[in-house]
Amino acid sequence: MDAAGVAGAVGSTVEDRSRTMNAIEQLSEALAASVRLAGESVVRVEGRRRLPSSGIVWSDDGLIVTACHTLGRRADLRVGLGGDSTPARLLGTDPGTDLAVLRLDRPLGRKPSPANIEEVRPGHLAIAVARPGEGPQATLGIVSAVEGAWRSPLGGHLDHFVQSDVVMYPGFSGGALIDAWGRLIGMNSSGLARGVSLTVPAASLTRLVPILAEHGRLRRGYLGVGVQPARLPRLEGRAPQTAGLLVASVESGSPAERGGLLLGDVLLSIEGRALATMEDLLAALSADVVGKTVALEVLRGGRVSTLHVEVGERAAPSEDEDE
Amino acid sequence: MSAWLKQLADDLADLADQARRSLVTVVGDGVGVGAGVLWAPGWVVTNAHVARSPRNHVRRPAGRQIEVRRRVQDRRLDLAALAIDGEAGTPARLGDSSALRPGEWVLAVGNPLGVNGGLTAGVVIDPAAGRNGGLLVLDLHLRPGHSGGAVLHTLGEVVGINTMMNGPDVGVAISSATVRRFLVQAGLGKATSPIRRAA
Repeated sequence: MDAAGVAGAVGSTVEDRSRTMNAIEQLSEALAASVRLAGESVVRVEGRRRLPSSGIVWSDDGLIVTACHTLGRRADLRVGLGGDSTPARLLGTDPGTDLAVLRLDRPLGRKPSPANIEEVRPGHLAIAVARPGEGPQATLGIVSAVEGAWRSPLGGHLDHFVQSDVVMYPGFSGGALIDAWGRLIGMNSSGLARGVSLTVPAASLTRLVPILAEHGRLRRGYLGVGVQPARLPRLEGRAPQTAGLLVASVESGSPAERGGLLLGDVLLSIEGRALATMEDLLAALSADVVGKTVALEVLRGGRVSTLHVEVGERAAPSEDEDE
Repeated sequence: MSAWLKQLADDLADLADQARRSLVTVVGDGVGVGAGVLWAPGWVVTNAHVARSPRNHVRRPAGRQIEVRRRVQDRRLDLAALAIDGEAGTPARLGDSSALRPGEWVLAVGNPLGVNGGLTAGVVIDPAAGRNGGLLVLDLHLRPGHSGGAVLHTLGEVVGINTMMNGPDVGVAISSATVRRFLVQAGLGKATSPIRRAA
């Protein structure tokens, strides 16, 4: 049916229709417009045998971010926006945050504009935009939760916990979660946790994509100690701290040994940040401290002293590929 | 804002009323087996898998059963057209399924799990799925009994026929353009041509 026919059927002209759109029509139009806008930033990633997955245009010079669990191979990757596709090179991956960064020979699409996470609240509409086929595809839901920083089950540090109830249709991983205005909340992944739609927030993409593009992986700091939480006695002249990390082993030749750490020391803080849990230590040993000398407060024989340790780099884990 | 939300809810309810006006239950062997859409006066469109009994009837909610006097079907497309005599609701207004966009709002009506006129709503995931692009993949919850019922867009026009579930959260419908092609090929193009009001 042509446009005049459609308008005729509702008893008005096309122009009248735009003036008298009811609320549900306005909503529908706005959703489709946001999907169309965001769709220019969402690409098809051909990197596994069956269905392609999705990716997000990250820069005007051809960087693409996608979900690393959807890549079944490391070479022979292609990225497309419409019917045809262009070769892509894998620059880096981080399984902990489920990110992979690709470089295109010929840039495609355009960068999305990010949403301000401070304005994203539970109950807001959220749209998943993906492109496992030629055109953009979309599912609709609401933001279920927005929380502070968290660590994924695979050990990646994410700047915000973002959960929605959008349906993750096959091939949607690596695609965008957008707000009602088409702005990027983050990258969707069904690989971060089973059965829930989680999103790698834009802040984490901004932080991690350049590192993965440059270094190929996330560097993590390495001390070479085995620790376990231990309850602390009250220490005079210090802010109250109920627990520290008891050193249960020191690897020979490790940065910890070179820095003078001994079995039985209790770690209290690193660079002034209290160490009470394993999480605290893992969070402190981030990429930016690799190669740097850090001040480590330890409790030894009832006295607090400060050691200076040059943090090493943890060897990359062996990479398991899907399929 | 809450006034706008109220308006949204009211508009959805109006759309639901409209969807139900063209909805029939397809009855086979004396049991309601699915839904159908009064496509044109005297013609109901449904899935072939819904009208699979050798003798079918259609029924409006609280209405009497009307015998189907002729069935034309295409099992490969999973479509059937049923000829009836007598009143069976208001013929649907037909929309342009080829103009659907991902993210656009749609509503599906049928008899899910035996509930007459049961509705589900969501957005278009993929408006041109399947081998020939003749399927709509939808972000809504089709259930057994929705089959043969209509998918409507926000102007209240039929753009598809509910056909199957793809998991609990995704519905698949046959586009109205495909239905139209089926009807034309079956020689019913004129008998079922869309109703248009003079502009």
